[in-house]
Amino acid sequence: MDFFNDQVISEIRSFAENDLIAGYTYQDLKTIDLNVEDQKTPAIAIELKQPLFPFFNDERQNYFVNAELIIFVSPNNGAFIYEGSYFNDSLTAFNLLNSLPEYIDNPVNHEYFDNLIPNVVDNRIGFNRLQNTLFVPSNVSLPEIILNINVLLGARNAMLTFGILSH
Amino acid sequence: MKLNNSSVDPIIECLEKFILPGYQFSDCLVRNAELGEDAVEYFMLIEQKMNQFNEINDENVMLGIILTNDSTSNAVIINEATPSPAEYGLNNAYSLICNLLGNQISDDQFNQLCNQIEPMDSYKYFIDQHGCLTTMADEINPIKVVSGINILLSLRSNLITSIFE
Repeated sequence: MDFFNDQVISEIRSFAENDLIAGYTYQDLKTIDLNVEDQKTPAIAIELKQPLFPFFNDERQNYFVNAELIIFVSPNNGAFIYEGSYFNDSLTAFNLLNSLPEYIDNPVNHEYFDNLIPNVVDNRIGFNRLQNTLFVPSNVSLPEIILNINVLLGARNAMLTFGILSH
Repeated sequence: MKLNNSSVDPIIECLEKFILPGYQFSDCLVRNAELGEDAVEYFMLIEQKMNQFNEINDENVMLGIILTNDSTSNAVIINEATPSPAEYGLNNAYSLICNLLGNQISDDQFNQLCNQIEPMDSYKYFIDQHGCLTTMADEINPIKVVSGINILLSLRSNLITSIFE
């Protein structure tokens, strides 16, 4: 079960350094162990930096937030690319929206987020209510996992865009 | 290796499956390229959902992404199509944000917006002489070409967000 051998990790890192969608900058990649379906499961965490422009045009347009992706191969169910907050207090889209002053008194709830996904994004994307994270299920194939990284980041941007502009 | 139907088919298949959320692949047309006698270009017609920017706006807009071979290497040039209201109502990112704003912005303002989203010195994209977003894939490889297209689409989405905000 060691999908993440040196070669695979190096290709994922190279993709994250060079080919992420606009606005995301690679910071670091770490190997970690997750507990998935009660089994210790190797995973990788990719740390990213994201500017708050274009979401804000006030003084926050110069701020950056940390974002993070977790990739793992489930013992039984294929691969997954998740938003993470394993290192660096990274904010998932759901948590980022709820951290904004305009949402503090009127938080986004899970049901709202669930309903929004097929409308604003599409059915490739899932939402994990326990961890407040968007995720993309993937076949266990390196090309598909790599391509799904940008699918997840694009979904994150679309949800942030809708969440911020509609408020 | 050259772009031809058999090298473009896997790119289309990959794009349909992994296009940036908010967009949908619609069609691919083969056309004669402006440069070179026997050169062809592949014109990807893409539909963009607008409801992430404006919840009451369910209208979709169309854009074109053109794939051509670089004449001196195996690279693929990935280029937004110039605006063509008569043809599918196509808009590139520049003309779409001018339309949304209701006035023209200067090339400098457009460059600044792009640069604030993704610094141009990351070399992920550039803006051609027609104001179209452009990038390259260094070989005819579906992952690289689709990633390049997604970089342009994400830049376009972020540009629109900056206008609505």
